[in-house]
Amino acid sequence: MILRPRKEDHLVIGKYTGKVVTGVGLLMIVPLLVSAFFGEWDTVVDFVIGISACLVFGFGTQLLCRTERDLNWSHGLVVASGSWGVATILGALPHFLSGHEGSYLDAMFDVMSGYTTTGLYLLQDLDHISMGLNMWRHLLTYAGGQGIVVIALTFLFKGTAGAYKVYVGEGKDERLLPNVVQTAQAIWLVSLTWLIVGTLALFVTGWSLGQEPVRAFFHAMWVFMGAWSTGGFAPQSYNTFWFHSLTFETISIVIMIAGSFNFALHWALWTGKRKEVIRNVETISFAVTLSVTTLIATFALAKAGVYPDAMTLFRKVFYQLASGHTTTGFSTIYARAFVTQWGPIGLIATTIAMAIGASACSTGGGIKGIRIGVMTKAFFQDVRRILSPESAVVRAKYHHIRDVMLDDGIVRTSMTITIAYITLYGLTAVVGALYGYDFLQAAFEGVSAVSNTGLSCGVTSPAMPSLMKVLYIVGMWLGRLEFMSVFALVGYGVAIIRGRR
Amino acid sequence: MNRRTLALLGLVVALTAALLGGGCMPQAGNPQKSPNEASSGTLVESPKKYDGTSVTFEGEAIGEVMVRGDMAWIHVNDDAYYLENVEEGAALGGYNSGMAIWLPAEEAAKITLVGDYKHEGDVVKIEGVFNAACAEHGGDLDIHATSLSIVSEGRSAVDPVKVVKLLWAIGLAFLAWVLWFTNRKWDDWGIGSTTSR
Amino acid sequence: MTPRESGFRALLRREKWPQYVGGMLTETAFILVLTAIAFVLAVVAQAVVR
Repeated sequence: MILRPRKEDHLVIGKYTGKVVTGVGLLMIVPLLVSAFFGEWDTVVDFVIGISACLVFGFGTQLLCRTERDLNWSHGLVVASGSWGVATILGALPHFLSGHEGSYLDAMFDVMSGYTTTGLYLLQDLDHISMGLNMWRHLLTYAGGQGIVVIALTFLFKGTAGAYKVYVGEGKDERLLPNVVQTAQAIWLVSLTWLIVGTLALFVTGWSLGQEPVRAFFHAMWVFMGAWSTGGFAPQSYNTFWFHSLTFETISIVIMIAGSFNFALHWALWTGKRKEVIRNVETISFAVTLSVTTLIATFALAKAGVYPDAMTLFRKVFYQLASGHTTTGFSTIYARAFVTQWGPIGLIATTIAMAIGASACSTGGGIKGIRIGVMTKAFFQDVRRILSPESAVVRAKYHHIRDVMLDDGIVRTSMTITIAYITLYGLTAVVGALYGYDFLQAAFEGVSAVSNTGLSCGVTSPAMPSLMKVLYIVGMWLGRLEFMSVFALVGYGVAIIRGRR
Repeated sequence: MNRRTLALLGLVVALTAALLGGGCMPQAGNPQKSPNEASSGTLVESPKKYDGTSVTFEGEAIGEVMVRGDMAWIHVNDDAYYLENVEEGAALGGYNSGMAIWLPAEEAAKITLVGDYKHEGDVVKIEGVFNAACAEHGGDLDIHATSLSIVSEGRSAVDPVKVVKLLWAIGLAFLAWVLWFTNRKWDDWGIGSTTSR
Repeated sequence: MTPRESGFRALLRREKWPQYVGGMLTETAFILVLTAIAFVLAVVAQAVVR
């Protein structure tokens, strides 16, 4: 039995959704300033419209939804997914107004791809867009990586207990410090420190590679944002292929893998628990699956003789695989080269890496290392159970910050979410195939969208069927928020229509 | 069959119809074709066929010239925008597409304008050898060029502020201010805060 | 606003930075080890296939 939501429920949801959207509007001030700095006045106007629209929504809901009540769990989930929806519609204004998008749907695709740190895009003539719009593309992927709710939490919520519930709705359930605001601050500390160090490293490298200082700085910051948020946007249509440099590639690999780590892992390492890096279930899982998929792709490509020597083989394979596994989506090969050079085995290895994805409570997507780790442990526990005498109690545990006993509840949750991911991967692949794309390519692209990676083998394009664009948008959204909060939003809608009073 | 099953069945049928019917592909209106016999698209589609062959490649110099010692990297786009870009009013015609080109720095120095938001870059023509996976450059798909000539010079491409957009901006900003102001007044008067507690 | 600012400031205290830097270096080292493994794989693959 579902209860029909009452007026107070609508009010509290409206109020907090409004707050998050206000936060998105305020975020647009950064690209507005960049545009003004470079004298891109038409883009400045686009951002004024974008900011105003967000504020009209934000302040409007504050007026309409006046309540002092705090959020409960289902409110939190609905606010998280609902505000992502509204933020996508309104955040797409600058993209659309730039004239580089084929339709408003395309603009929304790009913005959802940004928030969810996917990195697929439909924007056309990227090489001629303004600095301001490029700033916005990368800022929204950086913000989306932190979680737009986390941002709103830090700046707009006044320490309510309900804030934590929205935060969980956004797919981040680690509490690093006693309260959620402190946790958000710790996440900011890690992200901003990496932002400064990473941007500096890429800036110096870019400058030495022949870029002008101002350009080198902005490119460094944007590539950092794309890498750290495991987003995969880059300022030029050539993506990170633009730089042609081993140093640049290595630095971006370090940033994107660091970005794919669980924030709880960062915090453990940053507070002196260094051993965690080799004990944590997710780092072990990541190291194993990354090495195995790299191994498969390396041998397949070596056998096909695509690359002339070990060094080129290493550079191309590891970069794409690390990018795929961390669900970043940076690429130093042409999208179509996955098909024309890498071939089926290369495609499959990359697809598996993307499907598994990054760590939980990180900026990344995919099934997540912790679930792979938990399910592997559960599998071996069952095997041991079969081999042991009937009376024996077979226990298993895994290490994530502390030792955790493996119980059926944990395994069950891991399994349901994994099955949800696999179903969605399958659905996007089948729909792609129905539209006439090669199945393997459709699977690659579908997994890339749902796991929030953003690598492309050429299926995604402004000319692809609108319904596939919609499916990818929904897939990115579901994948990033890990299903539950989106289902809560759907349930909320259903309850309004047919719930019991 | 009960109502729920029927509804579910209806949904499935509707979704399938939508999927099959929604396959219309909105084609972009920009007909500009690549000037090259072997365009960047063709080179990427059949890298093996062209590997190690001499090619001439023409297009817009984009982004920047990255000088590295005696040599330099440039990127040349032969896409729908190589003669006119979107900011100047060209219709949309798909993604950018081009080639990375490694050439002597003195040849690259002939380029005076590169394409970006405010500029349509020089259209250049290069001659060189195509590599499907360059051993010298970490397996990059590139062209090692020996010569570069300017086909036509670039120009500045200013994107003017559109009046309609400006009016919208002013209107919306004003509305946002009004709402913010009302909000603050209501807070002062305590409207709404007690009734729905 | 003030209590939260001081909370963030507590995280920024000077004596905490050696720990933070150590954490970053540990992360970087771990990633570089993975990179090295991939390089070894490439060398082996190239040698085996030839």
